[in-house]
Amino acid sequence: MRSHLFLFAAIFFSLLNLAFPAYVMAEKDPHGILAKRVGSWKATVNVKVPKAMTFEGEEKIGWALKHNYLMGKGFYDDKLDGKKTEVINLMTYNPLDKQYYIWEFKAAEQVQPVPTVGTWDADKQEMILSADYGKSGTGTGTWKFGEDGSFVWTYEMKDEKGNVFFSVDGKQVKMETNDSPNDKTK
Amino acid sequence: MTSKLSSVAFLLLLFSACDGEIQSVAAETPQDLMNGWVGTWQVELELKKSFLVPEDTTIRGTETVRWILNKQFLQSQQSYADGNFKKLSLIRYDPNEGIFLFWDFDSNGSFPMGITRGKWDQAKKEIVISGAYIGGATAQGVIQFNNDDSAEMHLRLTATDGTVLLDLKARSEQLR
Repeated sequence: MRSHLFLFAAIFFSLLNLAFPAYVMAEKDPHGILAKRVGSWKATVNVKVPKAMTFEGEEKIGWALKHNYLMGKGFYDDKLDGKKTEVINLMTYNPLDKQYYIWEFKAAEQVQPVPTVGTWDADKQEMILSADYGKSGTGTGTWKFGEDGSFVWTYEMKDEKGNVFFSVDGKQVKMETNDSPNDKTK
Repeated sequence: MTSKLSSVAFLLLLFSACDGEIQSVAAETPQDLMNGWVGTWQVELELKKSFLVPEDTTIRGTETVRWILNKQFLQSQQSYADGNFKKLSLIRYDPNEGIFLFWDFDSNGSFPMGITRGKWDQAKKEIVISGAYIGGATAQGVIQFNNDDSAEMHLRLTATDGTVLLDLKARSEQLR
């Protein structure tokens, strides 16, 4: 029964999209988080666990699928060998549960099939991130925008016993470009 | 009609393994299989009357598939109903688990509500699909390959109480 209610709610909202597009536009990004991420960013990443290292990259982010998602494409020198690893991100806001969902797909061997889920903390003006990887453990983190417009984030992964096996933080600074913010999947 | 189309479009999204990932094969390995998916396809979806579909419905569209992320993923971009409904799908084969993983995102803002997996049966030339979704709904299905240029899929989504939420058939033909 619960699943039926959820599906009905989802269908209802889908229909609402067509009936009240202006309302839905606001509900797609009620805290303006997604809009702030649009653009080209220069990124620095600091891995603390399992082994300290710092690397850099660039990421270009724009709207996709008729303004329903943010889609980012990045290249990171994460092996410090000059061969940049490509990353694709998708992000959306779900008004049904008022949470953000983030998927990351890497040109690497490992991939997490589940998204990272974000909740906006209005008091702290930051996004609280969490993910459940099942037997692989859990993840927690934060997203925050600095007063200078920079984007600062943290993320930590723990195994089932609570031991931290991956810890990282990063900062991104927006670059001045002539990129169009238009939908990348039109 | 608009409402009906919207409902159908949303439903398509629920089933990550659906429409797009239905193709080719005389393949010996999953990698061969995925290479055969690269290209442009014509897709026809038949939705049988079920709990979520008030009447039998058929929609058509096109799909373009290409390798991305250093050939770790296939990306499928799909357009249905004259472009009014779009989908972006990512497909990956995990050699450690021996399974396909599917992610679907669409222009209604819907996204994967669980994990959809596919197991390649080389002898039968088919992929057996299983999915587990929020609320306890599950999906069972199969993709059968007729030849390198066409395939058919049947997928059924069932609620925890046994109610058939969706019963879908899809046909895919490669455009030359």
